[in-house]
Parts: sequence; structure tokens; C-alpha cells
Amino acid sequence: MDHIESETPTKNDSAQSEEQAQAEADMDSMHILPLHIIPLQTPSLRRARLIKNVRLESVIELFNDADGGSGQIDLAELPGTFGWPQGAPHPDNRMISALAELHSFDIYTLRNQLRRLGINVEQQSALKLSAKKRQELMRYMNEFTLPLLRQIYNTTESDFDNMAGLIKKYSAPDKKIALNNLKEMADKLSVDLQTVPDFLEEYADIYLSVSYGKYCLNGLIPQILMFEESMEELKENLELSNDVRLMRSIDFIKESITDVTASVVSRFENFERASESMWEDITAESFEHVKKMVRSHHVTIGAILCSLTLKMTGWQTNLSAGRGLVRRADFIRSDMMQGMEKINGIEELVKKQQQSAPTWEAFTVEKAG
Amino acid sequence: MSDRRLLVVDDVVELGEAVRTIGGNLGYDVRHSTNGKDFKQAMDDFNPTTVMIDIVLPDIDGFQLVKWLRERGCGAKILVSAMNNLNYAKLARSLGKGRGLDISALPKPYQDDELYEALDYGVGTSP
Repeated sequence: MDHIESETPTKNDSAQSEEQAQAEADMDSMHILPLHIIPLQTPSLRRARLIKNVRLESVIELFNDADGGSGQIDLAELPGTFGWPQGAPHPDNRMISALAELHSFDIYTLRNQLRRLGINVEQQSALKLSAKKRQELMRYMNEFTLPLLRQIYNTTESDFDNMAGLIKKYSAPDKKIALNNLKEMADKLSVDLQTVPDFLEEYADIYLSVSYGKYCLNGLIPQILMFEESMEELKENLELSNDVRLMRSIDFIKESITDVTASVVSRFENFERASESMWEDITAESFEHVKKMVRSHHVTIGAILCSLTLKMTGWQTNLSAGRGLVRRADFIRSDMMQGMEKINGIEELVKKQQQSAPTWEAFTVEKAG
Repeated sequence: MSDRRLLVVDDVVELGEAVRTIGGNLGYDVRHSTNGKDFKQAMDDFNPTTVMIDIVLPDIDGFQLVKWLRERGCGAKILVSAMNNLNYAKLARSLGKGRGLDISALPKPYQDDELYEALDYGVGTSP
């Protein structure tokens, strides 16, 4: 009996697995930063989460459960809530304020920005996507892993264009050919054969970040198209259409969202074009260039995707609450409008950044010259 | 020069040829570019009444081209398509719709009859 009892999941096991699932979902998300990964001094704050809302503001969420809902406090209330002494700002307050300024809490932005802010994450493994999310991203990753595997197995066969062909090849690889191709790749990359696994790991990480972004983007686009349709519905309403300020707000939000989304799609298209070209003649230099190109866009792409996700989720929640057109118009005026200037500001930053950021076209021109 | 001038930008040469045949049957004078640079040049030289844009091109993407057409106040009818991703085409339509462009999304791959239907309308205005 003892044996059977020990295998039956206890309440503690179940709570632990729920906590684990929650922790993983937090790290996979773009707008939640679980504070237990940050070296804060205040224990109760480390149990909280820093989250972003539809207005693109960062707030502290002390709890979130089915019974009590989401218990949030503004950052200004932190000293009072945690009894921090007045005078010089508490170190935790400084750290939280700096984190709150980040436009996205996705792991790729965090890796980059925590380093910039000089914040050491205690568990480096925390800044990774969950196994479940990585599995979901496989479909996007295939696009980038196929050229790599073609290079290793030296094939352009059509059976390599799908997963079934890939698995078949994996199950019975020609080891001699594969090893020769790996040696050749190591030569092209100007690295030792032993360091090829490092290259492969870095390659996978770069393209996992691209896949993550593309996955988020592809989930957002249908929501954005639906949002635009619902904006048309508001514009067609006779009563609301007389409200000039509201109509201007609708056009402003709609156009801003469409423009920044198209701009993000363009950047992903650029990455894909560069990756395809890179495999035509892989060298250490060309890989390094693509890597720089992708990394230089991490923060701004994360910022835009996080902001759009918050806006669209907020709008969907508002719609599903079954509110009438007038209440929806109020939501547009308040929650949807707030933070739009941040999104446009990020896009302006992107435009400036693009003038100096590495591009594949510039790289190929320079190489040819 | 014909009243109906169709400019297609698509890097798939065979597809450009298919559009050329159908466009020709409908009385269009058809020109085909395989990249964004040639397309921009043809916009000036050819002055099309209808433009077909594929979102994925080798040197630029269709979104940038739509923005470019928007900036120059293009008056041609614009059809945007994206292989297996109609949402991208719809997003490109949103970029121009309500901001001076006569723009529609065309599912791709398209059948001949869909292309006939999309192209068989009254003569568009010059850009």
C-alpha cells in the first residue's frame, strides 16, 4: 500500500506542477517578468511579477488567481507597500523602475537588456523558452534547420523538404558523408571540427529567436485584421461617426498598428532572405553578419510585438465582454489610445536604427567590392 | 500605348508569363518585373493602370512597395498577393486602403478564372 500511495500524486505534487507550468508560461510570455529570477532584496517582492497592461504600463502583480483576480499595485506604491525607508531610493525600487522601462519582457529582450542594466540573473536557465514552446516553434524552425541539414547531408532531394523525409534521413544517416560535410563546414566557418557543435548551438539559438518572433507575429496578424474590421463597424455607426476626435483616434490607432506590423513582417522577410543567401556560400563572416543583423533587431521587434499583443489582447477581452459600441468607443479613447505614442516612438527608433544596422545587401555589396 | 497597362512584379518567371497570357487576352499591355528595382523603374516608364505585387521578392518586400506607391499617390488599381499567406496580402491591403490606394488582396496560388475576374474590370486611372 505504501508503494501505491507514494505514486499517487499528492496535493503538493499537483501544486508544484501547476507552479512549474505557470513559471514556464511566464518565461514564454512577452509581457510578464517573474521577479523570482531577479536578485531583489525584498522576499515578498520576489514572489510577485512585473507585468505590462493594455496601456503599456508596467505594474506589480502580487497575486493572480481565479478567486481573487489580479492584485496589482503601481510602482509608486512600492515604498509604502513594502515599508522601505524614506530618503534614498531602496535598491529594489531602482531595479524595478529600470525593469519597468523595458518595452518587452520576452527572454531575448531580457538577455540583452539585463546585461545592459548590469542585473545578474541568478538562474541563467530561467532565460530560456519552455520545452513546450520550443516544440510549438518547430514548424518555424524547420525553415532554418533544413538548409543546415542539406549542407551537412549534401542533398537537395525533394524528400528533404518535409519532416517525414528529414526523420527518414536522420534514422539512417550516411555517417561518412555527414562527417565529411561537417569537416567542410568547419573549414568554411574557419573553426575546428570540435567547435562545430558550438556553432550549431548558436545557430539554433539565433533562429529560435526568429521563430519565436514569427510565431508571435503570425498569431497577431489575424487579430489585427479582425480589429480593423471592428474599427470599420465603429466608423459606420451614425452616432459615433459624428465624433470627430473619436474618428481621428480610430484612424490613428489603425494606421499606426498596420504600419508597425507591416514593418515587422518586412524585417522577418529580410532575415529569411539573408539566411537563404547565407547558405549559398556559408562562411564565418556571413554567419556572423546574419547573427548581428538578427540580434540588432531583437529589442525593437520584441518591443513592438509585446505592445501589439497587449493591445490586441486588451481589445479582444473588451469585445468578448459583450460591450456595446459606445463602451467600445470609450475603450478606444482611453486604453487603446494610451501608449500608442510609445509604439510609434519605437518604430521611429527602428527607422533610425535601420540606417546604421547591418543589412544583407550592404554586406554583399561590400564583399563584392 | 494600350488603355490597359498591367505591371506585374513577381520573381517567379513562369507566373509572370501566365499573367502575361491572361492579361493579353483581356486587352492588357503587360510588363513583368522580377524585382523591386525594375518594378520601380517600370512604374515611371510604363505608367501602369493595374499593378500586381507579390509580397515576397528577392530584393525588397511587397509592404515596402505598397508604402512607396502610397507615398507617390499611385492611382492604379493594385492587387497584392502572398503565396499561401492571404493574411500578409490583407495586411498589405490595409496599408493602402483608406490612404489613397485602390488596393485588393488576391489569394495565391490563384486559378486562371480568379485572375480573369480580378483583372476584368473597367480601365483604371493613370498613376
